[in-house]
Amino acid sequence: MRTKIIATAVCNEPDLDESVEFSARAGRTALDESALDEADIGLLINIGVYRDSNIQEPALAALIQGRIGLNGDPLSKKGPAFSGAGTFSFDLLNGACGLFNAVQVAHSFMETGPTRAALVVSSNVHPSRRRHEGFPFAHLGAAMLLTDSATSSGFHSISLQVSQGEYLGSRTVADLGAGANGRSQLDFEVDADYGERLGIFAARGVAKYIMQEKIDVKRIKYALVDLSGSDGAGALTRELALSTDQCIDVNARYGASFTSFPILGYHMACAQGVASGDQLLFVSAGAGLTLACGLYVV
Amino acid sequence: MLDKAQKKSRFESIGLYLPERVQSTSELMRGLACEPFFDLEELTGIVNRRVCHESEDSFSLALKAAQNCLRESKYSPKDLEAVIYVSISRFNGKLLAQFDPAMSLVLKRKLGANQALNFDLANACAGMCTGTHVLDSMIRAGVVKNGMVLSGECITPIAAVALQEIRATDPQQVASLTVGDAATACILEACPVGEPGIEFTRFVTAAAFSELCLGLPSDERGGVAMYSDASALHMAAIKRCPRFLEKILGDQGVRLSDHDFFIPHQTAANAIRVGTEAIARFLEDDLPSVVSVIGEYGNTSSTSHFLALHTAIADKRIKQGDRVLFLVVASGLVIGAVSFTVSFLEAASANEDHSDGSLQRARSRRVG
Repeated sequence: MRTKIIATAVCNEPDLDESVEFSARAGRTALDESALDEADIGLLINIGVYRDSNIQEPALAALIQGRIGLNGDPLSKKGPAFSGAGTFSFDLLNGACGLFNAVQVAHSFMETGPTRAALVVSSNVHPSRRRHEGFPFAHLGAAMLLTDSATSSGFHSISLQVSQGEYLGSRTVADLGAGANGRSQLDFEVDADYGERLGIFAARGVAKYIMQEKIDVKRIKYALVDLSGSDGAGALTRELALSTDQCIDVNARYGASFTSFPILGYHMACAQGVASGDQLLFVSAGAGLTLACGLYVV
Repeated sequence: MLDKAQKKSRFESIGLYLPERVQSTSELMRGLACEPFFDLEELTGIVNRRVCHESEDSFSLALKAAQNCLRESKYSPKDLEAVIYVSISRFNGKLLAQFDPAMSLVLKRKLGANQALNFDLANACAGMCTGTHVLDSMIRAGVVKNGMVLSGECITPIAAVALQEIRATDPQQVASLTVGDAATACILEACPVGEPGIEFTRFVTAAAFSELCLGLPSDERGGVAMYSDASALHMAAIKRCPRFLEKILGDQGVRLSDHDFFIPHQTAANAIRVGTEAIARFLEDDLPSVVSVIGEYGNTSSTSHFLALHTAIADKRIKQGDRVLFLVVASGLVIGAVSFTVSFLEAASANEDHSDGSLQRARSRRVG
């Protein structure tokens, strides 16, 4: 079985500044655009990294599920018994690569349990819930609805790589003991050579992935390439001999979107036009250094 | 070929690390800024809890639990295929919460598990059990063959804030005084066909109640705080847990009394007693032996089930062949269960007694 994307949605309404609401609206739109019954959504995974007011618990995913109104109480409405329907929600954090772990987890749940579909949501908003000069990511929400497919459509492979050694390149922290403004704390510590080293690491990692998976770059319909916190994606696509027609500039359309990038990329690819059998190459890299590559067949 | 729904994983090793410092409830309550209007020890049954040294944080706690877990495992760090960090607290440097890159990345590097895929999960007090549920699914689906779930829960900073901010007119931080610090880790592996292991895991989030307990920085004086409507949360859970267990035990064709031990989330002695008895009454079934370590360790949030399991194994209460049921209740409102047979854990032999006789470090080891 492959894991297939059946709907994506974006919320970038300018009057919003709360990641829970961005994700909830995007999630609701994705659900409405699919033919799925809400009872089918057994899993909700939030992959956004930054947290409104630096909230530590519950999972933002639970707040998002509540805001969507998705199977909010598993007690059956018809009686006191526990209904079979229910959604399990949690946050999954792995920076720029979070979506790809979420796909692995969703696949595992659908393959081995009663889960028929999984909703993945993503939003990164400054914890102060205000537009902040030092915050590099666009305030928006994205959602992707996944289900299992017995056809060739879906993710064909996912590869996650981490650089060796201690180098992180970039680290985002919040000093929650720094006084009464802990709810709006967030600091980006970025090394001067981060962009350059991320570009080199990603180029080697993607080349290795393409060789291992025997991918013909010419057959790629669209490449969705993001080096988070760096402007090196253009150089990487040139190094991979991808033409401009094959590249979708998500950041030009939405701004830097971090964990949401691959969802937005797929959303834009569908809007530009894809046909059954088209191949999409996902590449996301970021702090750590971390790299995720995925080949998706429409 | 075995159906993937029939495949199992099992615990291969579990590890524990407890900070050395023991703080009694009476010592804690001497720090309460307002006039005491409740008896915490009588209310909760909590006598002691562990508290991190100021040099310790979530990272260092989790690392020690992971190292203890690996010490008695057949796996070396380089053999691990997944490392999943699951704490509520994610302090890597005093109260410095690290969001990116993931805590699991820096921990796996420190452990030497460089080949493992890694990610963090956040799911309140359901962390270790959510990680178990996720990793069990990934092993059964063939995504990985083994992996580690770990949590370094440095949660007592919320008690320090509560001591200053609790007022008789505003008791929503009282539950913050019940917490204790602890770190746990477990290694899961694919289970050979026909052998007992994790029999089932089931979880659901009753998100209609997601705002009843919120942990976030205090906007009054700094530090981290937890604000909960403990009574409403308890009522929502106690109405749903018996029906949840009725459903999932029925689906599996097993009874509560088929389990030898029942380990609920460790919140307060009275809540554990009332909650478990209500479940047995509702199910019209005998209650298995209930494991409670709340008196000595308090509520250690995401690590509580594994701390209780580890302690009961170390005490030789839980033995090979025993069937254990975890009941998970966490902010969210998360309700879940993990049912497993202890097929290869033996009582820890590495307990270190301190001058006060307390258990500082213990581990369980695989013997077969």
